[in-house]
Amino acid sequence: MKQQDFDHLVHALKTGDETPLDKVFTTNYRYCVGTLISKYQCQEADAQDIYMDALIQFRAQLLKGKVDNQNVKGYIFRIAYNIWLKKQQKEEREGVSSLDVYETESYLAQQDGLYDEEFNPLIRQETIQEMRSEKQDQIEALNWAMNKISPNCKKLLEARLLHGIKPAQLVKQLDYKSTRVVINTISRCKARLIELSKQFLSNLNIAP
Amino acid sequence: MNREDKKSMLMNKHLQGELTLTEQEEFSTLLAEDADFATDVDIAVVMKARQKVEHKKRWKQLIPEAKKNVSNEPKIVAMPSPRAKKRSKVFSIYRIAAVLLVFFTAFILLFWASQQSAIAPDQLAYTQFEQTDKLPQYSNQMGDNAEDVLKESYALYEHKKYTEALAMLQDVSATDEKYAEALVQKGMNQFQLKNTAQAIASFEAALKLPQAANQDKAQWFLALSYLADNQSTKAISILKEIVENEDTHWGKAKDLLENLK
Repeated sequence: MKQQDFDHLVHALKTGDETPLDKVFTTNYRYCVGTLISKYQCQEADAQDIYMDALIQFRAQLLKGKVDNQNVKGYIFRIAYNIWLKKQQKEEREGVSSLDVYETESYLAQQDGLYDEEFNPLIRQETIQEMRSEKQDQIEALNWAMNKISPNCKKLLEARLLHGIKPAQLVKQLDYKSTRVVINTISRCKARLIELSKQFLSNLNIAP
Repeated sequence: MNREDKKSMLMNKHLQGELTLTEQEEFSTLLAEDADFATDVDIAVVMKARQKVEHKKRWKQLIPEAKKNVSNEPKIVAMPSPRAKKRSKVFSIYRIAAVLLVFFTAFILLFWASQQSAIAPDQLAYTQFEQTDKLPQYSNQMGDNAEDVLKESYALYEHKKYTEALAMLQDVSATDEKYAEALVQKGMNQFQLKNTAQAIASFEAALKLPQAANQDKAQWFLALSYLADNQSTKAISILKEIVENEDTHWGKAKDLLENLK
């Protein structure tokens, strides 16, 4: 990838433009998915899923500034390979009572119709079946609540919880008056989200 | 690392699925003890999953296009490593050396063969003479006077003292029964002294005598003497005779005839 294109990609992602990443997706698809299928005997649907997971990780690394423009294709494939390896060595994760990204994503994807008959890796089906219905309700509730909160709240919660950006940094990034204001807004947004989630669950007649 | 940073780090690792076993335990303890943290984790997980689903939905639509996509980037061609290049260079030097050696050897052989075929008849005669000038061993027992002379003259011949040998052979009388042998030895010494005409005369005389000892030798040496004296026709005629009669040197005579063609 040319340095100019790489810089553009990073800049675009930081400003919320995902189009250059889509270009990265199409450019490296054949190599990564093809290699996973031919070299590691992946099913096509699994290989596609792994490749997309890899690209999401790549995106996160780019945003953190942990990637330089050296053999991007190889770097993405290395991530994909590690994901594939992890899936091969998947062990029962005990003791974690919180939600799991993989399970949650599987469930949401199914609800969203992402995994149709053609795109429905077996491993995903098993994951969803293994999930307790209590967890499924929890996911559905939070997912529903996130659609209800304001875009600003969503942005702030994503920055703080998903990307781990500290309140002091968010003051500058999201144009808040002070750290205190950021902390208070985050608390309010969280409270609103939980409240909406409980509301969803109570509508289902399930205790929170 | 303070508690908040620690929590943030563990949550991040949980989202990436990168918690180690120790961190996993720590994370579980935190979840059990800190309800707020547990809520934050759940929110973050759903956010992350939503984000992933969103990306995947978009990319799924791009798959048909991606399948057709042929990258504009230059193809990665497995170029030989510098070491392989060096190795191949060395191999090519060896290869060139080997080819040159083969050509050189072939050239030398061809040259030698051509030289062989181009050897002058007189040279050929001397070469053949050197290879066949051994006479049957004389007995160690003391014999008569003539036999002792022949024994000693032959010893001188073997020591390349041709003139002395010739002088000694003068002592063998023409009436002696060993005279024919003496003439053969005489011819041999004369031949070595390049007196081919005298050698011819000696061998011819030897062949005319009835007591022709070493007759086969005498005939063979006569042919060689003619050859050395540039009388090829006579030489060839005798050689043919040797071949026909299958005399002692018929094999050599046959080869010589081939070379003289």
